[in-house]
Order: sequence, then C-alpha cells, then structure tokens
Amino acid sequence: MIRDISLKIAGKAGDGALFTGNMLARILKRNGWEVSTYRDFPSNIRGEATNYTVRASWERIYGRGDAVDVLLGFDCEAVGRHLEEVKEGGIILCDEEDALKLSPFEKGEKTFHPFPLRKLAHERFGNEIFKNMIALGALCHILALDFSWIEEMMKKFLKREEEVTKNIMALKLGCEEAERRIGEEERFPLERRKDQGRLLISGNEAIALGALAGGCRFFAAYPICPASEIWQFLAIYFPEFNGLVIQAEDELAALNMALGASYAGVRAMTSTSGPGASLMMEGYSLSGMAEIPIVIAAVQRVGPSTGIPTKTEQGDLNQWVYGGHGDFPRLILSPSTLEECFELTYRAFNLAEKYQCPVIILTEQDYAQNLRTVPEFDFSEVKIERGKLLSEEDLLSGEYKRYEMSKDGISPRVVPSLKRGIHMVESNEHDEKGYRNEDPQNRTMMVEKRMRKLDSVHKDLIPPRFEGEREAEMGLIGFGSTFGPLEEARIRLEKKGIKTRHMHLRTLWPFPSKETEDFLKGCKKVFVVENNYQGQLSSLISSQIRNKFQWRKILKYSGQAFTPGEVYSEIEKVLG
Amino acid sequence: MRELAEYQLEQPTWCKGCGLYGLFTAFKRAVSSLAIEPERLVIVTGIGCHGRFNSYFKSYGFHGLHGRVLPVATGIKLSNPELKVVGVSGDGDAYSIGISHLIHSSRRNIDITYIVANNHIYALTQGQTSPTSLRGFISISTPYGCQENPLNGPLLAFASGATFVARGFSGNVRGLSELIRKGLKHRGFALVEVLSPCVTQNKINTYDWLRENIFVLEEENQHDSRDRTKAWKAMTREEKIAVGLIYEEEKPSFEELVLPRSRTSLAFQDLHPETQKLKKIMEKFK
Repeated sequence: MIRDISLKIAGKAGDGALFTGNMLARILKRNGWEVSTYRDFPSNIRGEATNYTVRASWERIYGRGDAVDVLLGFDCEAVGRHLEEVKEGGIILCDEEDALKLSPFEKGEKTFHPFPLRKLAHERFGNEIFKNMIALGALCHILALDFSWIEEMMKKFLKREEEVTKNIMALKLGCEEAERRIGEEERFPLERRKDQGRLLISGNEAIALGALAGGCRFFAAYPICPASEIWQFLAIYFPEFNGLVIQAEDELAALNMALGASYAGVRAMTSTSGPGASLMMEGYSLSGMAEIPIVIAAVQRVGPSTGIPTKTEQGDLNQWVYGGHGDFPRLILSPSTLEECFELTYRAFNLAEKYQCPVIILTEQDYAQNLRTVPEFDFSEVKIERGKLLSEEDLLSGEYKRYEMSKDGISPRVVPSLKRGIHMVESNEHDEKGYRNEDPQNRTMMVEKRMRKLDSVHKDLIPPRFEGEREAEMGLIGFGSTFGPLEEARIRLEKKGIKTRHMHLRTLWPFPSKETEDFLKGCKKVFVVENNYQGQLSSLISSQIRNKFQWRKILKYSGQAFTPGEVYSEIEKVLG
Repeated sequence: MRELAEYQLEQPTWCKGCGLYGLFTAFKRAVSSLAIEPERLVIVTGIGCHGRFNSYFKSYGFHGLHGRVLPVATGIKLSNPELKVVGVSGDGDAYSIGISHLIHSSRRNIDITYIVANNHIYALTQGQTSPTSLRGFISISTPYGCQENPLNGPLLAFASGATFVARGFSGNVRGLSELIRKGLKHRGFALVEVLSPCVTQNKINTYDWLRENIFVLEEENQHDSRDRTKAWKAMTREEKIAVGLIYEEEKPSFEELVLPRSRTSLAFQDLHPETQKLKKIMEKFK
C-alpha cells in the first residue's frame, strides 16, 4: 500500500509545469491526501530547465521527500536530468520519442510509460502545450485519481471558457489513452481518503489571509520574488474590506508609505525579500525610533546581492536581527508551519500596535511559494488589540506627550485629527513631547525607554515548538521551513531507538534564551540545522545563552530546501 | 481666516536672514487665510535646515528620514484624506536622495502640497554642492568647481505629470504666500519650489543674486498657467528663473481614484474580523 509518494514534473520554463503541478496537487488533495509541493524554477519566464514536485502522504507532511516515485518528463533532457532521483521500481512517464533515445542501461529497473504526448497534442489541439494536460490525465489513470470535479477547479485558474474546455478535453484524452495502453498491473492505484475541508495554500497566501483577518488595511510594496503573492492576494480582496494596496516606486518608499499610514491610524504592512530588505533598513530604524507600529513580511531568497531570486535560503536572519542603524526594539517571528504563517501574521499586528515597534514575519521561499495542505484556519481566535491608542475623550485631562515616560516603555499613541493630541513624531532623538533633544540625560532615558519595551514582551511571544520527549539522546534545533525535514529525521531516529527532541523556534527576537538553554541541557548531542553558510542561527544562540554548550551544525546553501534524508544522514554519521 | 498666532508654537531659530523665515511666514499666512484647523494639518519634513519647520508650527508633524517626505505623506493622505497633508523638503531632500519620490508622486497626482526650499547648497552638513548648484559652483565638496549641471525641479515635476507647479521667492513673502495658498487649495499634487537663500553657506545665490536672476510670470502678459507650451517655455528660459504660478490643471487626484468607496477613511475602519467574508475567501483553497 502506498502511503507516501513524490511525483516530479520536469521540463522547460514555459511548458506549464506550474499549472500541471498545481492541478495535480489539487487532485491529490481532493482525493484526501496530505500534499506538499516543491518548485524548482529558474528566475526567467521561458526556456530554462524547470521542475515541480508534488509529494502526497497519508501523514501530515511539511516539506519535500527524499526520492521521486513518478517522473513526468516533458523532454528528453528533463528525463535524463532527473532519472537518477527516481527510485528503483519507480515510473517514468514521457514522450515516446524521448524514451527511444535512452539506453537500457540508463533506464535501469524503472518502468517507462512512453506516451505520444507531443503527437497527440499536435493532432488533437494543434498546440504542443496541451501535452501537459494529456500527461496529467495519464497520471490520473495510473494513480486511479478521481478528477470528476476538475471543471470547477480549472475555472478558478483559467480565464477563458475555451481554455477550460480544451484543457479538460486534453486531460480526459490522456486518461483514456492511458487506459488503452497501460496494463492494470502497471498502475499504482492510490487509496481515496476523506478531504475533510482542508486547505491547499501557500505561505504567502496564508500570510495575506492573516493580514486580512488581523485588520491590515494598508499595504505598500515593490515587486520582488518570492514575496509578491502576498500583495497580489491583498490587491484582490482589499476592496471588499475597505483596504488599499499601493505599488511603491521602490522599497524605500514602500516602507515609508506604510509608516505614514500607520502613523495616521491604519494597520499597515509591507513585504519584501533580500535586496528590498536591504533598502528597508533605514525605515526599519525609523520605525524603532519614532515608535511607529509596522509589520514586515520578509520572505528570504538566495543571497547575497541578487542571488537566486526564486530559490530558498535562511541567510537574512542576521540582517533582521542586527540590521537597521542604532539600538531599537524589534520582534522577529518565524512561522514553523503554514498555519503559523496565518496565525503569526494576525498576531503580529497586535504586537506591533501594543509595543509600537517593527514586527517581522521571517519566512523563506520554500514556505512562501510552495503549497501545503493545512487544517482550516480558525477566525474565531483572531482578536484585535490596538494597545495604548487614545481617543479625544482620553485626552480631556492633562497634557498629551507622544513619548511619555512609562514603566513598560510604551507611551500612548494618538492618530492625527484629534484636537488635543497635536504632536510631533521625530526621527531625531527627542524629548517626551517629540521635540528634538540632544541632552545626554534625555538621550539616555529615551534609549532605555524604547528598549524597555522588550522587558515585558515575553508573555506575548510565541514559545518554541517542541517535539519528542524531554530527556533525549539527540536534539535538533531549527526555524522556519526546515520543520518538515527535521521532524521526519527525528521520527526516523526514534524508529531506530534513539530518543530525539526537536525544538523549532518561532520567535527569533527577542531570543528565547531560557527555553534554548533548557533544551541544550536536556539533550546529549545537538544539531542546529539551517539553510545558510555561516550558521546564523547557531551564532545567534551562542550570543544569547550564558552557559557553554557544544553542538554541531548542518548547513545547506545550494538554494534547495533540505530533504529529510539529508538531515538524517548527517546525524547518522555521528551515531557510530 | 484664523489668527496667525494659532499656528505658531515656537519662535524659529534658523540663521538670521535665512530664507526659511520668509517661507515660514508665507506658509502661516496661507494656512490662516484658508482657516485650516491645526489638528487637520499634517506637515511632513525631511532632513536639512527645513526639517525644523514642523517643530515650530502648531499642527501634527512628522520629521522623517532624508528624502522620504513624499512616501510618508502619501501613506498619511491615503489613510485619512480629510487631512491636509503638506510636505516640506530642501533641494537635497527633494531633488537628490528623494528624487524618485518626486517623480512618482507627480505622476500619481496625489493630493499633497509639496514645498521645496531650494537654497542651492547642502547647508546643514556645512555647505556641499547640491543638485541645484550652478555649474562651476565652488564648495567644500567641489573645491575646484562643480562640473555637473543643475537640476530644474519644477520642470521635472511638470514633465512627470504634476498638476500644479509654482516657484516662489522667500524674499517676496506676499507673492509666496499667495502661491502656497493656491497650492493648498489645489486638488492633486502641487509643487511649490521656493528660492530660499542660505545666508551662512551660500555667498553666490543670495537675495540680491536672486532678485537679478528671476522674472515674475504675473508681470508677463503672455503667460497662461493652463497652457503647457507656455509653461514649458517659462521654465526653460535660458537666462532667467521663472517665479510665479507656472502651470495648473484639473485632474482626478490619486486618492479619489483608488480609495475604497467607504464613507469612513482607512484610519477609522472597524477592524473586527468579518468572519463570513474571510471564510468565503478560505473556501477557494479547498
């Protein structure tokens, strides 16, 4: 019985691998399977090699698997390139012409299903592009997947009726052809399970939905991979929520617009990735100094510089923890699952307004752009808490001071238009009333007031997620989109009889030192796993704990997410 | 009309004779003649000597980063269009580090009055050459003379789609005040450049030099501020700098076009989650 299967669709950019993969993912989800997709796209539109993997499982999965069970190759090079990844006994579905070009040696013990993909597409539709739906139809037959509801689904993706009809025709044609050509014993029928109202969603969409639920009503951003889907989602749905999206001229403007909006009383947000994040550092610092609430979704891609815009990395942790000139408080949240992309985002707006400082949702391309099945989001949990925000009535007594000294460092905020609340918001060092002040005593007091906000924030932060038993032989630490590979590696170790505990950080700043120290105490051997070269999380841990601990690092910086096997085999090396 | 004193919070402390005094007075008069309530006015300033403008003025104020006056002002205006939003910058702020925002705010035609105090020098940082400094200008950053050509801010804003372009002179407070008043009344993006001498750092572009080098459009019979060709001619005259209302046109402003049709501004929306609507969106992912 198949309980976990990975299907890879490979071709050239422009072949429609994304559309085909998205359809396959939806079909699998509707057939009741847990799904996680993985796109490996070049950052151009046409011509270069591309591939998209859909993994489906009975169990909840959070990321890519280790090997490919089924390869759908649109051209000979694509088949050749990925053949090695296919498990022994796996299936390759490809064009019959391409299959002829491969030697028996190359083919090994793998089952080939040569199919007249291109020929059928040309003959029936006069356009090669339909080979992708013909292939998908064939796959549905091999896997015994139900797609009777596909029309309704395709209508969501394709604008023209004619396109929907043709694509469905191609899909059915592929299915029928496969029925004729492929013997029953060569099929891999998948058990149909209950779908139970789950969602198939990307991290960017989950963040956008979190923003919508969390009361965000202003969003300014500049186009950048892999963050733009947040904005594109909000651009569609904001009008019915009386919100506004604006395309800024650059990231400098994007963040400053959002800060202007927040100052004027709106829950405001921006999103960006590496190069845009660098431009946002000045506004990040302004938000800290002027104490203006702001939420920034920072979707990491491969750096430095332009790097690889469409691939995943965790190399901007240092930038958000240490970046922006001067000392100022900041909160950095990191979703460990897609449902947390939603949850941490709506909570970020409450945190930003309560503590009047920047709040970062730090995630990665792997989570942001790939799809995963998640349980339905619970909107009844969403609460809107606006912190110390004064109304005209609150201002009746006493003089209003924007940066009034307080025990918790938080001063009352007033939205412009209130008669008694007239004040200055200052990027220069300022006094309680917001007027520039360079007096050493005032300066010292003001720095301490701002930083003091972090003293009381702990109760509102999201603690690390722990998996496995408290006392363990082996400990694994990670953040963000490495959750899946770490969890699967942990389960494999457990199966081998090695007690393993996994800590996934969901707040990166202020750093959860106590929890981390306790975790390190409880595990004999510890691995810190992250997608970057320098071990940025590892360095952060070192700087934030008091006692000396040893751990090993597992690092990957190829632009690809970890597979569970990669993490496991690194750990296995020290098992002896 | 409101009392002038209502708007003054503090006595400005710019250098004696600074052009910013003329601008401050002219602005105060314009705001008072339009009876704008201090709580309905937000002044955003950047970095430079002009940056203190809103600390002296009684209204809501935002003293932000160097060059980012317009993005902040844009965010404020979109969030609450009932507010009168004014940006004040210097020539470094508006024409150098923040120049792209000038271009894009002009083409957006967002309802912001943008006042640019042009003193042809970076005064606050001790006198470096600015983007409006003349070719050959000698300063601490160009001791052998600047070899770049000066930038014409009003011309750039005009070419970028600004619907109100004017240039005033802080040596003529009455005229300047009238231009600012018109700029504040204009719906859409209004640039008012102010030739504003720096008496401490700039010994070239002085009050006398400006008086000799400007010509007043209102004194020229043939100028028509609604005529694009005439506006172009006025701004590109080789030997003299045009002062006055250069160009104006009526066009829908950005916020009128893009804001949702709600009687309540973004700033005062009820944020209580609309669960039914959210669930409907979530259905699309099933």
